[in-house]
Amino acid sequence: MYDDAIPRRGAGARERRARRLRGDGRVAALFAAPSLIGLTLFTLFPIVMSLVIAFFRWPAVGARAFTGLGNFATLFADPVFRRTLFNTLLFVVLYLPLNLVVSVGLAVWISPRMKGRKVLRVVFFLPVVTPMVANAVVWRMVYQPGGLIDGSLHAVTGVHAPNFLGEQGWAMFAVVAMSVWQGFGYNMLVFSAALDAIPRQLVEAAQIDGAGPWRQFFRITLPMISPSMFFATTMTLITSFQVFTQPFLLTGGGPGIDTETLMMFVYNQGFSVYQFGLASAAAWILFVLILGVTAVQFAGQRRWVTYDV
Amino acid sequence: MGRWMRGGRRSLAAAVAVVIAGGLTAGCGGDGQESSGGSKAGDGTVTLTWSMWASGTEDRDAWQNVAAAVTKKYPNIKVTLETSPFEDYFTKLGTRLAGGSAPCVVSMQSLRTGGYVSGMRPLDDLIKKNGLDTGDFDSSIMAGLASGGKQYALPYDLGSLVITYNKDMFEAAGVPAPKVGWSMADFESAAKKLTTGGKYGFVAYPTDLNMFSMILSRTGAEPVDASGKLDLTSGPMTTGFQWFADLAAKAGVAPKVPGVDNDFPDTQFLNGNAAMWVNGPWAVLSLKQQAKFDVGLATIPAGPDGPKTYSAGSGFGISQSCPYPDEAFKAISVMTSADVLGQLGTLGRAYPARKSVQGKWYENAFEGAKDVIDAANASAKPFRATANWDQVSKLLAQYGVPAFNGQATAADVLKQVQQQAPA
Repeated sequence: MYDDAIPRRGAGARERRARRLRGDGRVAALFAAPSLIGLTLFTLFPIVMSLVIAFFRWPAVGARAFTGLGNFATLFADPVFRRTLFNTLLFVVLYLPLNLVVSVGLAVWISPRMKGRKVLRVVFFLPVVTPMVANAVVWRMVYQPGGLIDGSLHAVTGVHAPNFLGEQGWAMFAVVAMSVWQGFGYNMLVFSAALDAIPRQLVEAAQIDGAGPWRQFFRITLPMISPSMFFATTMTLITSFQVFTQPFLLTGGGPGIDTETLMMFVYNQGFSVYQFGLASAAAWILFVLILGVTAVQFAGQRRWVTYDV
Repeated sequence: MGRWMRGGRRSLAAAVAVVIAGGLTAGCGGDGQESSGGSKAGDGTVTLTWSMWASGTEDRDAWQNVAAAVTKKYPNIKVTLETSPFEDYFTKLGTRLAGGSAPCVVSMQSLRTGGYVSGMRPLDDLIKKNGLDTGDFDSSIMAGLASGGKQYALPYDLGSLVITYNKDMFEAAGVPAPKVGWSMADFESAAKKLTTGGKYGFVAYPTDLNMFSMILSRTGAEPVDASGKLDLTSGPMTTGFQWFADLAAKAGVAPKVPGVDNDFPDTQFLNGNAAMWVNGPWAVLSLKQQAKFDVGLATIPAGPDGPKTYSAGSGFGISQSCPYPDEAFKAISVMTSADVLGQLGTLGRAYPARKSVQGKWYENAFEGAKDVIDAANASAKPFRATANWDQVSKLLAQYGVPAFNGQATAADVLKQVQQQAPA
């Protein structure tokens, strides 16, 4: 399924293609120019620029000076930066498994030819397409003292719920819960499509052999959707390392710095303290972190991802 | 791989290098000659952009009229208004000043002037050249918009922090309405009596001007010392902050704070959930319009050393990168003229910075407002802030919240903020 996305062409085909290109070279270059210029201006240039800035003391106004690895040293010595790094990892560790379990679970649940399946799919996907700002406002009302959770809990049991966004120890979980609700729909759709593609006869054969539902799930379903799992894990991991909007809107990084993530740290350094050097250095640390984790995932995929039916 | 391809790659690499080098030099060029802040048309009409904070269409319309007043006086000057919410305004402005793409006319708050002077143009020579008489402006706010002996903006409003209260809640609870000069003891007993049936007497939240006015009156502590350095860890400040946070955390006369949400106090007050909050006169009339109850005004309760409060205000300045400073100065002269400030005063959008038209504000204010405002002004001192005040105020909200929920002590919170925002 996903291997289709990676072009596999023989060496012969490549030769032929190159020969054909040579003839249309100039025209091809002309056609490629708009996107190439765009790529250079808006992707390559900022990337290189931010790498350069990362090695400078670069205040918004005032003198800039080359500091070598100074910014990186400053960052790793800064308890706030280390805490945001920890927060980001905590978020990833909580969010990724939860997201996968919920999305696979719901995809399996709505996968048989059940009634109202299409409606459910849309309903579960809705949080993904609603604007995050609106979601955050609603979730604040859910979380705040006297809000939906606290109000209903108090009415039923007489006990007050914790002040989820204002109390240390709760805020990160509150952010993770809201993020899972917001994000699982996308992965669910991916898994849902993968489940539909499992050949019927495989399941039937397993049933005839006497495999129960659990066995079917672990021996047939999971291996069959493993390429989708790989895709979903990789993408979710990357986006969860970059988490920004949810804590920014829900908690502002607070209370204290309990929910301040690496991305928020980058934003604050860049647009509140105006230390572009530190901000760029932090962004590159995040990039290397993501690159490393993704590389490990790619290396490990051979062990658990099944591409052949 | 074919030869053309190789050549193509080389020329591509060269092109990338050129673009990057070009970008670097442009980026490092600093004081850009190109500016988005203003432009001149063939017929000599100068168009200036003006950035302002505004909270809604009504607010925006009021400022749009101010822009129109400029063109009415000087038909060859057009002012284009750009607005953003107050919380985002200074983040945006800082980025634009840094990038040399700032608007020509810049709105500035007295607390934050120090942090943005490097991107702004001193106005002293223009004031002299145009013979502008600044004697009508309130001297405290002129000083607030100056830094290092230079004037960076002309003021349009000012005000001393006061208490706004929900008259209906006071009546329902049978608590006598606060009078000018009421004491901390009166305040605390009123707040306690008003806290009943899920409603609260007060709302406590770590916003700079509002909170520090209360602390100033309570213990006399100031967040910034006379030399302009952040001084959050002094004994009186710790005691004062702890008292303020405990209004929510221990005394329970203010609601628990649900995380960082700068709209929280206003929302609680307008919802009728909290009977009192601290506000500046710039916000008072809009609160009166939005509230579904009668709003009253009172002075900040007097502490052991008598009544004290802070004053602050805002004005209009010119960015360093503005290509038409003369036209921009004409524009801000009109925007802070007696006519325009009188109109803003009547609308309740601003308590005018010009003494001659301050009376206009009272036309739409409440009964007794003048006594309260006069008393507040008499006991007010300008709020001193550090150059990095924007950062400090963000950190205060972020770290302060746990103290209001009893999860951290004032000493911890203030130490953290002091450490992270060394001035």
